[in-house]
Amino acid sequence: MTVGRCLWVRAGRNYGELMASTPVDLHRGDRDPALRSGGSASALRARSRSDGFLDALEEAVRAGHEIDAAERAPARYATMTSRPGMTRALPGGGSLDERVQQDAVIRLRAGAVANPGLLALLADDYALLTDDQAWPAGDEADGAEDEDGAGVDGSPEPAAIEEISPNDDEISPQAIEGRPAAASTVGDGEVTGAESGDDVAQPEHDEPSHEVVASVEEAVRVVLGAPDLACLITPPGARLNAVGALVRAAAARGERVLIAAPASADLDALVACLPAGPSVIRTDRSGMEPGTLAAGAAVVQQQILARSQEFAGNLERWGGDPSPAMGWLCRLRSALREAGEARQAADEAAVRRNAVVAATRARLGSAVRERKLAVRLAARRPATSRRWWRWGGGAVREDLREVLDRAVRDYEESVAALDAAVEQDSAVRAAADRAAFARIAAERTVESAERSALQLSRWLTGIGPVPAAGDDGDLWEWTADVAGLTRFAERIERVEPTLRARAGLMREWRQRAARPSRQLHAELLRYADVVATTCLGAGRPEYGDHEFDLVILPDAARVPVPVALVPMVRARRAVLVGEPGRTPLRDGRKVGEWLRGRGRLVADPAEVASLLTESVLDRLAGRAPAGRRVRIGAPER
Amino acid sequence: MTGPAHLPEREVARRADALPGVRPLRIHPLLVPMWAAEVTATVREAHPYEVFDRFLARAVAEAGLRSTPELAEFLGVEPALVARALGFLIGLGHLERDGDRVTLTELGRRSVADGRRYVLAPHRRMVLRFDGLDGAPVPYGHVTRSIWLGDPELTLADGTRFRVMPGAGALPDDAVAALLSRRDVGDFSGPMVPVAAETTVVRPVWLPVYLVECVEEPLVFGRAVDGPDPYLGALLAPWVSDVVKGV
Repeated sequence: MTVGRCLWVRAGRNYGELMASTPVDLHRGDRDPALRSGGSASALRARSRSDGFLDALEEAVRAGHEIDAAERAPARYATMTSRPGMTRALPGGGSLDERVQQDAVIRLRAGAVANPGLLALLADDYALLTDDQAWPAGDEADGAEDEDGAGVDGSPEPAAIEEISPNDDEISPQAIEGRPAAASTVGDGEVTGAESGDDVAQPEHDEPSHEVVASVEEAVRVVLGAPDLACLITPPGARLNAVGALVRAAAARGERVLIAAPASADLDALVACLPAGPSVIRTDRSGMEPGTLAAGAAVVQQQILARSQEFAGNLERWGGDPSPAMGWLCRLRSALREAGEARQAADEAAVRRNAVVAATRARLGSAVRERKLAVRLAARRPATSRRWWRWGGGAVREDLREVLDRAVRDYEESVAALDAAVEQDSAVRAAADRAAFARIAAERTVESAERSALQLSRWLTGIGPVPAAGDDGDLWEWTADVAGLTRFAERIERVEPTLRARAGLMREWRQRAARPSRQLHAELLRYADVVATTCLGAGRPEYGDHEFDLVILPDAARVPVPVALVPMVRARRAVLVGEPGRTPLRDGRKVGEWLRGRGRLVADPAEVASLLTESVLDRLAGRAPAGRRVRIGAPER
Repeated sequence: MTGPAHLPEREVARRADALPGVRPLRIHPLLVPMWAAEVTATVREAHPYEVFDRFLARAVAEAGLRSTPELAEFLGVEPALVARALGFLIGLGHLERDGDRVTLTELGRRSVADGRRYVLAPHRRMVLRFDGLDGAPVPYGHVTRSIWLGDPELTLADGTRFRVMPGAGALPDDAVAALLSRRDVGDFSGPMVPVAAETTVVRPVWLPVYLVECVEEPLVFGRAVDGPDPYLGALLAPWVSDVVKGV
């Protein structure tokens, strides 16, 4: 078999230089004119490194599936899904597990991931990282590079470009040994690999000196401050507490969290430890178990019906055709119309009463008129007989004054008598009665309108914010007169269509909430504070377009990179929780056999082996710089 | 081409004869000049509403509710859920935030009115077709159910030879813009309604039809309609005399 030459490019250690000459572009290299035309050496290295990693990922996904199929027994990470049907063969070939992982690789290759730095971080491709994303390997990561050129994980640093030329029969040992944190071959308690002289090297899991040791609260603060990815090293006993604190802190920031555990059984304890408050949906289980989508939908539906009951009752008065509120509005309008008519009738009655009074006074007022004339004559007499006045003297004067006084008294008495007579006149009394009745009727219609307005005012409570009436007037302020009540009625008429629509919408909403529906599931998933699932479950097609602010892998030391990738491509940031340095995830000997049997590989065989046996936490924690790797409590020695 | 470009002439003659009150005189196989304008467009795609987003948009549009607490109280759900759903609708361009309140955008108003969740998708390539006589857009039903020829030549298996119809004019520069400004643009573009478009290529295409000269009004038979085509009939009506004279 002819094996093509596989060029494995290792990026140099001078990452600052690479970044200075390489634009950050997560798109494929074929879109980059610099790469098409040959480009700079750094750009070429960047492209080759990432593409090599992606090729290795694809091979690892295929290898994992084939090894598992050959073994006819679930490998350690194949048990990560307990959902029935997840491992069934699909019509197009492969299992759903494989498809899900392939989809994640495709998304990563296409740059269609929520975390823009993910590819560079996983591929150890510093040329693709921006300044704030870079995981410095030099000064910041103390001891990351020693004099003999060892990398951050203690692995030997090869030359800038290393060529691997596997022949037909075996994979070059140099190719595998040269990889950082290379896979070992321990499986099921059996020590193999370097110890047994097989072709996969034993990993080294030295504690990096740049690790930050912190309390749970401080650790959570630090890892949530990481812009793309952080490792939270916890002993097994502190893991649940740490995840709970992470979820609490993220929820307080309004972030959506995806918790992706290796297996469904791991989620039981995790979900039980999550803080109360944030809404949690589990998608790894179906049925009506607590936390499932169906159960969550039922809870939300019950909540809707319970919380909106009073609201709906209040709004019912504004719904219907005609609505009770419209009935009261009609009464108000009718009362105001009647009040206007009654007021006019009262005014006319008053005018008629005044006319009758005037006519009656004219009819009965002859005596008054005579007395008035007498007074006038008595008052005029001294002015016309001034000479006599001077001759007559005081006695006459007194007589005249007495005459005038008597005339005035007579006049006043006649006026009083006239008033009494007019008041007692039957015509006047009838007119006065009519006017009084008209006035009372007008007042009563206003009172009726006021009662309608009061009723409508009461019905404006408990229906949410009352819409603006449009005339800068407050709907709640009105005066109990015709003008004030008329303005109130006009405002109610303006807002009534909105309130009627609100009532109709509420009725529809409650009818919708009363029906069991799978339609809610997708939205609940989209809007839940926390979604808990298995790593492979996060790739279910129906949830493929959902993105999260944060993904937490609570047991990342048990998850290989191809599986971890499934939830990680869906979140803007990732926190890997666990204790690195566990036994390899897959039997290295079988991996080696598969690689040899595969023969010609597009990808670097050592990288493929590493992806199959090494956990995502082991891959990333070893070279995480300060601030991206935090340990809770002192490391176990 | 998966099938014949058009019916055989004898089949058209049979159909015309079968029409009541129609006395055919002569059949003219014609290639009607058309324009295919390839555009890169921002299109309005219609998706079905889900539950929360539909009622949330309606609550804003119809019930006069504007803020997260108001909407959460009305719907009886957690404010956080409402906030996320509002964020989703804002992301779609259906709502816009004004302080702590939200208002519907034109896209949101149209979505609520039509009961469809419209999403604007940029950079979609599509072909808009215009007739080569008036420069008017071709109805979508004719676009999809017709055979469009890239070359002005067509001879059927039975020897029927179509000839290019005279009277073709240039496509007006503003033809695409005029189409986009029409309220019934969906009748011409199909389910993907362009709201903005940049024309990349305009190329001529030809549509084979039969013009049936009759004692009465002439009839036009295309592939899109099973029978006389009223659209093509109206399109060719001003040119019938030229066609007849040209024979």
